[in-house]
Amino acid sequence: MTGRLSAAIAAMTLAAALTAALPAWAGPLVADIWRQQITIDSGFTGADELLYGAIDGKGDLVIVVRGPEERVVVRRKDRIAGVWVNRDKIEFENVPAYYAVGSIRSLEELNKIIPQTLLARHQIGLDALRLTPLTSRPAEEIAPFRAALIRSRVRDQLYRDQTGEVEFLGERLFRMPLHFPANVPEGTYKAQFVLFRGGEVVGEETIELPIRKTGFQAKLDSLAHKRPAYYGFSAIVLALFAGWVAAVVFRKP
Amino acid sequence: MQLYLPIAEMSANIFLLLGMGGAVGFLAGMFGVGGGFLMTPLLIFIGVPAPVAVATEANHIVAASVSGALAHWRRGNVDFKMGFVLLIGGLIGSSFGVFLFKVLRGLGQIELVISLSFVIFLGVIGTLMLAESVRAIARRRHPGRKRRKLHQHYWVHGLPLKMRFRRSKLYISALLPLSIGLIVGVLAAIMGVGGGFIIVPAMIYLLGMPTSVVVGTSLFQIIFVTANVTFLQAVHNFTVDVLLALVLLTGGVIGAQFGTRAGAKLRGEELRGLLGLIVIAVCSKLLFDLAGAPEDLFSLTVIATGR
Repeated sequence: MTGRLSAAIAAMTLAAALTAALPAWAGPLVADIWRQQITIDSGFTGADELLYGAIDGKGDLVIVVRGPEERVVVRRKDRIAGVWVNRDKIEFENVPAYYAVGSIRSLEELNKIIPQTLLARHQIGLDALRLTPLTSRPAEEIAPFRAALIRSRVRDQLYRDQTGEVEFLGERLFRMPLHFPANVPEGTYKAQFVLFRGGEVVGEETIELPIRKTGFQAKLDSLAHKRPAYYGFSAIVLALFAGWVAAVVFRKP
Repeated sequence: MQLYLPIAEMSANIFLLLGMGGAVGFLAGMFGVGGGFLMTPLLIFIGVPAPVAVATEANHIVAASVSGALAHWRRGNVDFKMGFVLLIGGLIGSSFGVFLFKVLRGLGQIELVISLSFVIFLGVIGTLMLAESVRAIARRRHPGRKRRKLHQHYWVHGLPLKMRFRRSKLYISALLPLSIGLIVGVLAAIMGVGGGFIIVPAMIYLLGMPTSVVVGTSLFQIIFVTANVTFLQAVHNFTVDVLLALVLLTGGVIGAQFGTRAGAKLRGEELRGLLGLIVIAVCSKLLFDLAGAPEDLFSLTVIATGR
């Protein structure tokens, strides 16, 4: 791990050297990620990622990391006859499975520096997330459901409500460590790097970060969803066989 | 050591899962029950999504019932004719049960229905077991009271479609075992249980079957009913976690061996009382979770994923 980390730092230094030497060619922003792909294997307990790069001189760098978009239903419980029962519900589309935002500044500071239209366009901050409610109900009825969705994701560590710890080495080199918890779904994640200067976007780069299941578990999962009849039948045969083996092994003399 | 469960989409400690399998297997071996009615709530308690817990447990019971059924078959304790009639009802009931499961899941009510079913059935059965055990212990202390007749005749014996079941020495309406199979089939699909804890008393008290063939015959039909549930859950709900089922089974097989030995040393009445207490404890925990104020009134379900 330290080997790969130092490799990453070496790459950062290289990137910095390139930006310094060839600013016109490299543009105002270069960025990359340490692990090009994250795999969910049998012992997956979460994964660390490192986003890094360099900017040419002044500006405010914001990094937005988003997971694949999902459709989610949010339900509210009510008490009926002493038991808590799901009653009301609202569905949302374009819900990122993961969301983190990074900057050296706090969200409050960013709100003051960057125009609202740009914050909204790049979906910077949880308030700017474009979650699409699939209902024609008034906004004040949707709001508690939207808030509950975000609250739940923050609790599961899938959304970060604070700007992540972006660090600068000197004026140009930056890095942002990122942690994906064990419950991240697979899919294509995107890291979007945006450089603001004087209320305008001067540099932008998007890097894809695939998270995939691998090994035995991935095969099981894909079989279960793509060939469910075959999977179900195999599950039965496997169980019958396992039960028979148990009976033979522990047969009383 | 953490093990990633692909269908449940969560990591769980493999030793915790083996231990749960072992503990439930121990109780199952000791009391001669399947254990599904304890395992499904336990899986829910450790955070396995309820639909996955139910479907996976059906798969687990297939395996657990095979060893038991084989042992009873060797001793000639299976009434196949009765088993088939129960099974026809069971297959219809469990197919309907999985359909109902899918509908309830879409409505967002499946977790509630699973918990409520467990609370009701565990509550009733736990209480009956405790009462029966207390009565039996009391009877032992004050002997000399009159015992019940072997066969009693109720209205059910007047139903049509009578069939002769030689192995069980019965001449009764086929509608009776058919409907018992039907009801237990629905429960098997919704609760992820074999239903032995309902079918065994029903066979003894409602059908009047001799105790010697009851367990073998119920295990015989449970294999096929839970196999049907496994298949239909896999096809309609994608909720069978084979890996989880195998880990539970490994622990369960070993636990059951020790359980059977421990069970032989305890008296029947005390065993039943003890099991009654465990059942009531699980029931209370479920009831507490249903009635207690939830941490968050809102809950989230992903219905479509982007890849």
